[in-house]
Amino acid sequence: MKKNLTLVIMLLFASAMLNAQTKDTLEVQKIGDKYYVIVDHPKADTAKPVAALPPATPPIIRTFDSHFMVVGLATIGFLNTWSVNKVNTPTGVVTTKLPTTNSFGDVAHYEFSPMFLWRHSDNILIEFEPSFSDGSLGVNWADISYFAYPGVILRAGYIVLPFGTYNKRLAAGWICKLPTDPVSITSSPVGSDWGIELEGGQQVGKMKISYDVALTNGFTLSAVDGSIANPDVNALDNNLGKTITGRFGWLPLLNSSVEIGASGLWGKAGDANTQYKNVSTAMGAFDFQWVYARKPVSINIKAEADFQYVTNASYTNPNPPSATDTTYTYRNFSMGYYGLFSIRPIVPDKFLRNLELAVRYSDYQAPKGSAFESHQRQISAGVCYWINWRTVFKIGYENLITTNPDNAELAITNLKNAQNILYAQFSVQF
Amino acid sequence: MKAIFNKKITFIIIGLLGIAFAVTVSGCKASEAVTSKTGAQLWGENCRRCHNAPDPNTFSAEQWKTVGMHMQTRALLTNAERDKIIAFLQQ
Repeated sequence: MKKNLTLVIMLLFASAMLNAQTKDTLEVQKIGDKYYVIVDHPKADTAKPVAALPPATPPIIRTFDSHFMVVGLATIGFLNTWSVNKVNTPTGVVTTKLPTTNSFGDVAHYEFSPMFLWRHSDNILIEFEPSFSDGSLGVNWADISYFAYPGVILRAGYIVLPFGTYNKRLAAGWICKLPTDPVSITSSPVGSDWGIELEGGQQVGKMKISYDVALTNGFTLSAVDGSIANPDVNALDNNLGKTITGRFGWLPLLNSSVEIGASGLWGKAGDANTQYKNVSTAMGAFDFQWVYARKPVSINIKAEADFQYVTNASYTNPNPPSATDTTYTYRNFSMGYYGLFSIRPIVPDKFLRNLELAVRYSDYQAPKGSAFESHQRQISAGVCYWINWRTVFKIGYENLITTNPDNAELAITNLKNAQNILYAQFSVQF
Repeated sequence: MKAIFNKKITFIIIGLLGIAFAVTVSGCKASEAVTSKTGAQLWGENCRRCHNAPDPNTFSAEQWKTVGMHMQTRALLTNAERDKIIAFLQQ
């Protein structure tokens, strides 16, 4: 009954969204009195003249409005979850069906993030994006950028780490083609941090390259279990060492349709003046994307693989096997990846060409032998309906399986949780 | 553990050197095919790397300058690309 009610509500919502559609979003954009066909670029700047518009009124220059603007994004979701726990015991598998949830106010799937931009001059840009999500008010970034030379941008403040491409470019709900983020990304400590950054893009023959290097306070190490976390925006650095992060991007094709990136990060993570003062983190990532748009389809492939290594150290065993054996250690290595494929028809029918189908596979393995060991496998599929270029309604399904094995040393019992989630999500950039 | 880590570092260094070699071979000067690109072409090619190409009517001409600076920091566009795209969107 609840599932049927959910489906009815989703269909009604989808119907309302479809009726709200006002613009083409992929094939044709009208600019002034001409139509431009995006998908035929670069071969043709196809300008199809139409009836001339009435003379435009002279623009009104408003200094405040010209330099200061508020944009941002909002995402609201609805989800229906049903899941099962399985535990292997000596007498067999014990299965427990968990209560179904059916909720609008899910803290993990809404976001309201206005972004304040102030163009101080042609060389200085100030950005601030607070964010209300996950049940709290936070800050995504707050920084000042100085456009020093062509291909050289300096930035300082609370910055998004240049590691991979997802956090800096693809995480926004109106950009991400599925209602959730990949588990390989959400399980990674990479986020925003205080520091300075140097970045830029450069044409090199028919190719392009880009670089992005940052020096920040760095991650914090949990003295309880050796897990790594991104520092809180209010926190001072926990040690004297700074963390260096960088990404090199390569766009080998003339039309910039392919991008390959390599990222690295290294820095101290342990608290100063403790036994963990020399514990450091090394991370790496490879990312790839290919965007294809030629009639009759537009295809988008994105992928990113991350790995993280933390210096081995000993931690206090919460369930020591004896009075003398109170610590344990493990190989603190984790890795994850995701791959996304989406396809969108380029056809005359307006309804069909505003649809986009997306599938994604993601996998994350937390350090084996740790107190937080788990393996996550996430399969997501969904349909986007693009109401306009920055407004999307998504319906998606996700299967998330989380497994952790027995760990006798830490008295942890095996558990396998299979979660099925049906999403409806509306996301807009404003 | 150390040996595995050293192997990975070696692999990364070889990869970066390979990229640097390819870049050098291709020459460092922007070709005619690049410099002759219009703002409309660059708009279609670069914006859609991450999201749908924006409707030029979304913002005012002055606002596009601000948005262009913000997007340059995200997509790491060259100055020439940014300026051409902004000029196109301001039309």
